[in-house]
Amino acid sequence: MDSGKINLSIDSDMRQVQHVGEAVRCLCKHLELADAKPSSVELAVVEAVNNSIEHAYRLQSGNTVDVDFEYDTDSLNIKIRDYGMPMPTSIADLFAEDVSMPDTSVDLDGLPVSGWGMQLLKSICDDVSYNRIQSCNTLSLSFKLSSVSA
Amino acid sequence: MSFETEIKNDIAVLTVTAGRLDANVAPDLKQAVSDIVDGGISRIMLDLKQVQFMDSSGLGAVISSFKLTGQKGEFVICNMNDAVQEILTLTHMDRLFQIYPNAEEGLQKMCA
Repeated sequence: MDSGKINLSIDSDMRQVQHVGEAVRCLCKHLELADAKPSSVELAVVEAVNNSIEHAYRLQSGNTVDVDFEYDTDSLNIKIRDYGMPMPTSIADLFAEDVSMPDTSVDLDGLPVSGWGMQLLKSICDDVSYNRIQSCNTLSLSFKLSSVSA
Repeated sequence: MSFETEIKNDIAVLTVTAGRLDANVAPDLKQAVSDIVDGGISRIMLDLKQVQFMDSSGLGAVISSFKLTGQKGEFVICNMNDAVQEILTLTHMDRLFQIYPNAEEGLQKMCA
């Protein structure tokens, strides 16, 4: 495995997300990216694309979500781009905070049933960042890779 | 249909027949569990043997299902693959749920 770039693009339809997820998993397996577990990379990309469709496009299909991969021997960098509403500050701010999962010993009623996606992203990826330039939202996911075994 | 339900000794074994427990399937899981609870059964085993992938929407639906059965009910999970196990571990939900390697063992424990 040396280096390369691969670009995927899907419609902002939740039914399309599984296709990009499966493509990501196959890609990771094929490239044999050391340390980047295919199922974890798939989960991270699916969470990011779900976020674009849900928050940027308000679940409306007919818009574009781009997923760009760039990899070399040291890292796998994935950018998820949409052209919809900005990410809510309450979510974007999570990237600057430490990950803290809910306390499972608390009362059952207090356990959240949503909002796990961004916390999972932070747990899985080595680095996550968000920026908005003009009308383009970019969520950048980074995975560090060690040397690939022969 | 993304689910199959079988009643065994007053325990509903709910099998997810979809390969992915994601945002498309999560609302149906919550509805399926709600229907079971409304039917008077509050002991549920969620069988994930056919699920290859679960995202945070699926996790939310599983937590919702757990809450629906309430403190008096019972909600257990069996047959998770490594990818599903990973998301429960990352979120510490593996500490909350009773998890069994297969349905037979889970039913045995629930009936004991």
